[in-house]
Amino acid sequence: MALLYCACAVIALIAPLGVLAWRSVSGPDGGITLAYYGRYLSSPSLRRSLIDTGVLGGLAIVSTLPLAFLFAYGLERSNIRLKGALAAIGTLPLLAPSLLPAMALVYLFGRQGLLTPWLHGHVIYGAGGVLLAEVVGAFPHAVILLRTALSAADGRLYEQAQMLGASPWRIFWTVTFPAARYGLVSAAMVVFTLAITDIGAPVVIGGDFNVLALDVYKQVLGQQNFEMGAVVAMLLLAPSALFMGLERMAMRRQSAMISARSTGFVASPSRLRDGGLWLGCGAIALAIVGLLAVCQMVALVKMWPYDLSPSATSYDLGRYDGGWISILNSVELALAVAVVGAAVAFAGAYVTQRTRGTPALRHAFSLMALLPAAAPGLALGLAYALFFDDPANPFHFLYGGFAILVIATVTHFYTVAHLTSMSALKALDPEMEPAAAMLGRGPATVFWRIATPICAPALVEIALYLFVNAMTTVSVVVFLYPADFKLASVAVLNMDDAGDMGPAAAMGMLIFYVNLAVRIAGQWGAGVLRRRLAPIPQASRG
Amino acid sequence: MGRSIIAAKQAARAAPRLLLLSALALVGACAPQKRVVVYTAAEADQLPMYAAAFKKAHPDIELVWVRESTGVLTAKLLAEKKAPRVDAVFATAATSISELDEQGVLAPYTPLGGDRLDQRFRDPEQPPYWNGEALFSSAICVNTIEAAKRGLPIPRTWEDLTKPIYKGAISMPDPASSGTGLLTVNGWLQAWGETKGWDYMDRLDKNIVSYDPSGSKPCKDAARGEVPIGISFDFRASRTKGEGAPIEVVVPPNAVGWDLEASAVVAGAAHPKAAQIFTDWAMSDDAMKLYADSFSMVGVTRFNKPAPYLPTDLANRLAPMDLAWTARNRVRILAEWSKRYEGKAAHKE
Amino acid sequence: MLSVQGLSKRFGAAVALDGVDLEIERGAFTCLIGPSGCGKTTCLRVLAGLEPATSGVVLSEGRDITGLSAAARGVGMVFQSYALFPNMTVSQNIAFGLSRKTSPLVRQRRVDELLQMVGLPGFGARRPVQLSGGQQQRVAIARALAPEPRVLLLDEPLSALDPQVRERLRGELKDLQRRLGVTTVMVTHDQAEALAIADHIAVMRAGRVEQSGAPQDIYDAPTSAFVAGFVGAMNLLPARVSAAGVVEAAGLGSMAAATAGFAIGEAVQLGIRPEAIVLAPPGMADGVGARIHRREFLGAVVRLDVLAGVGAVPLLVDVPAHCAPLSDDALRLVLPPQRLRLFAVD
Repeated sequence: MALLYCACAVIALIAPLGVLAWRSVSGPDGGITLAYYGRYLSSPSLRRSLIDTGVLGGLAIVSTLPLAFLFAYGLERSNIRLKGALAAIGTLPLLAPSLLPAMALVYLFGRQGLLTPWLHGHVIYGAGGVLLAEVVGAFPHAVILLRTALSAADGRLYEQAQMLGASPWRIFWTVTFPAARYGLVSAAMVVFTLAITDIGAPVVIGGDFNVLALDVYKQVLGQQNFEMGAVVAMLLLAPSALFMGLERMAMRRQSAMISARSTGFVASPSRLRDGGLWLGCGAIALAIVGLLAVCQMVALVKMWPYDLSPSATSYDLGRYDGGWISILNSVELALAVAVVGAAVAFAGAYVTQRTRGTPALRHAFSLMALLPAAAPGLALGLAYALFFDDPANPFHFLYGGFAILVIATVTHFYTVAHLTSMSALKALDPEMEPAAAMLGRGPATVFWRIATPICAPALVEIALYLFVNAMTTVSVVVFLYPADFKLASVAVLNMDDAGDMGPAAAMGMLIFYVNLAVRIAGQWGAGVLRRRLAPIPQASRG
Repeated sequence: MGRSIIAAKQAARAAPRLLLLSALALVGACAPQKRVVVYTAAEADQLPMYAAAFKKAHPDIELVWVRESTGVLTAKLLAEKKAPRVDAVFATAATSISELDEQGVLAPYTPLGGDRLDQRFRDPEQPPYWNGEALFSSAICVNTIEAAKRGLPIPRTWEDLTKPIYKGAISMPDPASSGTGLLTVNGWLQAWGETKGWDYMDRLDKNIVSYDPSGSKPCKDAARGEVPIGISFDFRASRTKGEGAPIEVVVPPNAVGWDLEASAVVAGAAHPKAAQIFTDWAMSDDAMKLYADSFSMVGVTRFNKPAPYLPTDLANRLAPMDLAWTARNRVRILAEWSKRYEGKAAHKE
Repeated sequence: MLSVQGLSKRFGAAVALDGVDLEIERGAFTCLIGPSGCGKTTCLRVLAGLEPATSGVVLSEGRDITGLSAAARGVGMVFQSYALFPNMTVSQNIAFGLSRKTSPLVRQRRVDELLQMVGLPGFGARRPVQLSGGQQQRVAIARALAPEPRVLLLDEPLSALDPQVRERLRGELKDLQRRLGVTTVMVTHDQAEALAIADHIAVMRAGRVEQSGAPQDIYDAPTSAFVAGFVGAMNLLPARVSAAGVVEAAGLGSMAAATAGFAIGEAVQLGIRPEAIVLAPPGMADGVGARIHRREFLGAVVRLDVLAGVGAVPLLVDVPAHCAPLSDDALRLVLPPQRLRLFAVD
């Protein structure tokens, strides 16, 4: 089993990325050359985009983290009201393709934007717009990481600090902040990676502002220049791999900080703090809901911005690229990715963690399972196109089919699915397998009859995560989807390319609603499963 | 090989759909025996009309559209040369089709009534590798509300667009990714010669606010007022105005670039007979009438009728163009273009 | 019944079992004890068939079962955590190991019988989380017994429980085992538990069986200083055989002891249990002078921590609570020669 998993990891990840790296350095005569890198770096426009990309990532960190920290702090460390609603709203951007917030920003601050007069003659196109859109997109990721960091507070430290007479301000800087520092580092890394690898926002709102991800897209789809695309993809892959590596280190440190004897933290009542946090968090939530509402509104008017009478013309999606079928295609892909991905990742985690043979292979697989997080979707998608397109490849038959979309998407989002499975399985008594073995039942029985039912809530959550991401991703599928199998997220991109902003907003919101419905259903299902397994509340023993 | 791939793909795709929409999958399994798979760069909003007409003419043949932008479509066909996945090409720029022809992607076929075609719409070779359907050409969409707001006069000629007053007011398609962009640039280069053409673009570039990925976007952006002036193409301009957008369609008096929408049979097609039937239909009177609803000039001249919002003397305004020259020089022109304007574009902020 | 011969187990370079020999009698309750890392759990897992042995054989009724799988050995096991399947009811847990070929009715009857046997009738529909620790243990035993194993293996079954529950349950465990008559091997690190429950004890150290025998024999006649120190409390003093029947204990002086097996002049360890030391009645000049350094009241006995002899050698002395000296004044200790044991120096 471990061998099978390692083989799959090599075919689905290592080999394609290897081919990508190889193509970026292989000259037309078959020799190794750095000429493409040289050409890229000597082109002033492309070199410029390299620098701009780095600046964009840095600015995204600086702008996202304070907002996300405020939001997470409000949710974890205060007594503000409507925490549940705020928390739910904070994650909404995850459910929409990354183009959607960018489009909303165009409607608000474009040349005809509702709020453009506020900008006093400026427009949102360019670096500022891309940055804002990336902040919206990365915000939920940062909030999730920071909430984890802040929720792990050790109440004893606060009691100690209070006993020593420290002011709230001093407690914040000496206790809260240091405790969250690894969470901040890991959030920073994730924000950076998301910001530099996204293509949705630069396409919609970038104007003349160019970034590496856009270069890959243009080189490959616009000019069919795969070698140059591979070079840019490699340039994109290097920092994201580095940053994701740092992120994992920070995560490990973070979890090491919660000692077994930590006690929970209960926020003390404070009107001033809670009032301020409520205003801040409320404003952020309002902004998120506002962006989505603007998109929905634009999708429902007759002719933005001149005729705002209600109309369903934008929903006549058959007239536009992709059409209604693309949303069905996307749901089909997302379902396949969710089911296949959750099953494969869970079984893989089971094999790595809970079987005993071939330790070297299991170790190798658990390392490889962390790699996809470091590979940007565009790089992976391009690597697939290069790897599977080769007729000499025995897996060439997959190219241009549905299966390759599923494999690529599952691979792209594998790390989170794997790690979630691992931690769900870790909660399982390590003596389950020996206990079953003593009763004449092998690991397969334990997997089906014990591990799977117990981890069912986690499995639902993994499937949910995969579904939502498969619905919204553009980068990993844009080079791979068969021409007769358009996907909704790509359709949004194409509609935007064609200038069909209304239908693009309609389609984007459709993706959002599908995801919202699936998430509500999935979380309800996971809740039911969890309650079924949960201990009946009983008097605490000791 | 190619067929088995498609069959395997369909089987692979049927599995999840079976879970999802088993009824649909069953319908799919009992599809008509004959089918024809067609790559097309036609505008998405034109396709349903063509599909309905073809279905009426040939109810026994299942028509499968695969729509892509011109650039992507060309690249895919080139990549799939050894194992074609499609049977025919429809409503795709003749420039791109010529390039495909040179690469040996196409099969020669004289459609029924091919001799009715106007000279301009014919492949010089006999038998022809492609057949023109309709002619499309550059057009300028000017948002009258925004122009008034900014105090911009309506431009009438290409030269007008380079006036300093239009600084930051114009967008046009990027010729690297848009067929419209390419034909517009070629119109200038072939009407005025390369030196004058590039000089013109240098001056125009000072006024350009963005180079868009598609030929439609500049006009649709103009319709929304995102930009006052968008260089686009005739069908998009008249369709957008017809939908009620506050724009005026301007066709300059000369050097208007153009290209043909054309059909062709793909060499090594899985369904060659159906591909020929489809091409016959694409050249039929019925199809020509449909083209004439969208375009002012179609392959069979007698169906021409004035298109709304477009000048009746369009033919006189067109640049003298050699499609074969365009096809041969495409790569060189694009390289020159990106050297001049892409590098500059990034610094524009 | 079960016979283990020359059993070795290596994990890479680490040696977990280093030639274990063990005889397990039919129907007996055998305890494997030893400090952590001595290999007792590994030994149990090899017996169970969960770990393959590196070398050596396991015989069951004279039949070599070393290569057999866990299920084929006719061995049941209760794990330290009980490893009950939390998603299944008590009945489903117990029925887990029953053959799927038997009819559901037969299986249900067997489950009910087992629940009755472990004293949990009517608990079948509950889930493990709804049971107390002791009840969970009994379900785990019922589950292990369901396929009617010839041997029941228990891995620290009491360690997860509170001290009071532990004492009660070890009695119940012993009762159950006696009632069923099933051959049982239990691993524990708690020597008091082993002494209380076992018919037979094997003391392990560094992958070997150091001594095995009845609890009383192990306690009274440990064959090594290690066993002596591990099972019960034992004062161990450096000493030297000065003549036949005489040892010279450092700081305490000469005293009579059985020195058979030791050479004159050989360094030895002199052992005596705290309860074997006798307080000399006041006024008697016998024994060694000592003074009380600290005293611990343990209920029935008082443990005196004394400094004895000219060398102020620390010794533990247990005296019945009602006989404990009232003051910390000097007292005299008698070390009865028949209770003195000599051990080779490690």
